[in-house]
Amino acid sequence: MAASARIPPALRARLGELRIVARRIAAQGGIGQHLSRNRGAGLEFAQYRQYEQGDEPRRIDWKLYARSDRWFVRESERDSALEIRVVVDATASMAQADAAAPDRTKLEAAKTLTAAIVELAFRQGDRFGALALGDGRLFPTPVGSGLRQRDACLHALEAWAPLGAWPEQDSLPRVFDHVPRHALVVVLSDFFDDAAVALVERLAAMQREVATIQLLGADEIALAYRGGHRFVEPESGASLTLDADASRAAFVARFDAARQALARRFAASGVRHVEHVIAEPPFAPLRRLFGTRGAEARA
Amino acid sequence: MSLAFAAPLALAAVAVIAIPVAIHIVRRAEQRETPFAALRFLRAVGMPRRRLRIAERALLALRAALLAVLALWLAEPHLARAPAIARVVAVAPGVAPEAARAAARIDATTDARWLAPGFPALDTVPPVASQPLASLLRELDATLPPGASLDVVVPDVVEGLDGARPVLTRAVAWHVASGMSTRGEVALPPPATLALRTDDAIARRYVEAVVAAWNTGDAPRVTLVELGPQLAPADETSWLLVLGASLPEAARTWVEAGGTALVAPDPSSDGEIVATDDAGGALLRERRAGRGRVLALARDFTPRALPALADPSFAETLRAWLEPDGAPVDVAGAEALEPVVGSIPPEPARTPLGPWLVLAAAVLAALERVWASGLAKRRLA
Repeated sequence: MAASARIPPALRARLGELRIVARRIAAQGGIGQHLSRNRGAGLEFAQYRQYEQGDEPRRIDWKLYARSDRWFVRESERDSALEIRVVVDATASMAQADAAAPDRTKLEAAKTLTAAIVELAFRQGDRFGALALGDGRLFPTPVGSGLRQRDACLHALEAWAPLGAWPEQDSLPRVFDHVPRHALVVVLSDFFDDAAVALVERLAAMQREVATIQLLGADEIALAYRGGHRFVEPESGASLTLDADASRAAFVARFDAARQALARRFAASGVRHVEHVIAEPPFAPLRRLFGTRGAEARA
Repeated sequence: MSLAFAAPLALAAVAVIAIPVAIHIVRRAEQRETPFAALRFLRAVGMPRRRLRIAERALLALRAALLAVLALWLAEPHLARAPAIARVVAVAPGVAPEAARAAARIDATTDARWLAPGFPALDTVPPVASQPLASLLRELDATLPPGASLDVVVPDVVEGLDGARPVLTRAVAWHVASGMSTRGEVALPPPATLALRTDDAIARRYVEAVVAAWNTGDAPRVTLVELGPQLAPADETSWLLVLGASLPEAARTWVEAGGTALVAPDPSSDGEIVATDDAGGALLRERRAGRGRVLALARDFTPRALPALADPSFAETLRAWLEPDGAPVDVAGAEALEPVVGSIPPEPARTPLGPWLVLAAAVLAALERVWASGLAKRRLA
């Protein structure tokens, strides 16, 4: 799928109604793109670079010139107020799809949402990156801002496939390398794996602002299967043969309770949590997370 | 009208309905793996029920109907007319209706008819016999349905015969009612008498054999009478055979009064040749004598001189010589005429349903195609 086609036109048309705002900064109010914690510094040192013709003389580091007799330019990254990361569950369970649309897997829905968030972050001029967790490994995209970064992210996410299991516990600290403090992290997963829930809670506990979108299938919510089936869990391979009609009521009750428990857990950790049924338009969860007041009124 | 099949065994072709049924049986869902990520929230509450599931029941019904119609078509169904008539009593003209009623136990519910053209009811005026009785019997037998039984009431003497018992498709209850003949007051022909004048024992044995052959069957009997030399035959004698001798003088007056005499051997060469031998020579000559005639056989009445004597058909040959104008006997006693069963019943009138079934099959096939292609499109969409 071409990167430009990843966001459906209906969603792209309404992206203007959305705005990714960090909650703790937004609470202070104000104007501008984002109110930054270290406002006034403006620049964060990144690297030294050889002076080239056309560089402003005032950007030359004179102290370094004094030491080395060469001209270096202090290059800095523009200090964007907001770091935005998207963490996507790309384990085998994300291959789940409704029987009505076998191609529309949860991972495909997650990719659409990721592309939309990346597009939003690009439009806001924020720094952004994405990270897929699956097949026991991490699949990070570069982090940056701008058009090229956006295209790199959109290109990278197309390679994600729903494979394998959640990464082992000891590789999870590397997630924190990709998600700096005070970043806004959007985690897209089905949250059927306790490790994913634990990761969200740790991110929230370690000063990251976390929003979660739980991806659900319509068949899953209602157990919309008829008669006997051999249900197979894609990650563990465990299977259960049962009559869907007889098991439906108990399953729906248990599943609802589990989702409510998850929502309570995330709320307790200060995580903004929304559910997204993949058969429905992808704008709804984004609006509930990032909708401006006007957009909410229109929706 | 009732449904019947010309080839009922072809109905076994209905068994091919099993093919679409097998196609439509859904492979058991529990044998397929259904990926389900939220398995941890599932508990085995009910085991899958073991029952056959059929997909697209409407399409299956259509296909089964198509095959059933084709099987029906193979069985060549037709609508046959049911035997509405159970028993028919046919009364030959000449029998008094009352006598017929008594003989065949006819009551008000019985289908009783005259054995006359058109087979009018017995209540109508007795018709005059105009067609041969055997022909009418055959016609009535052919028009009746196969299951119906036929009673025939005939008078003592029956005319309009074939010369043999009528051969019908069914057994007939044959009632002989005392009454008039079918054509009115007609007496049976008197029994014929053959007078023989011979001294040859071998010739006499041949003549006895010929008479015995004449007397088989239902034909009127012929009596053989030995005639002494120089004796005239009695007046009621039909024919006179003179073998190995000349015609007695006393018999000449009998011949001239209208009798027929055969003389052998008589090599005289006058008279009209009636029969020739194998070589073409005159074998039998006929001379007129008064109102009668004399047949002169050129040979001796011995197998050596007359090889035809040993033929099985010689009795008929001799009868034809003696009685050249002899019409077949069409009057007989009713007892001798009781019909026999033997002819093959005609095909009953029936309406074949094959064309309609082909039409139905074509319509069903078109419906099936439309339905199935629509289904394929829905699946693709």
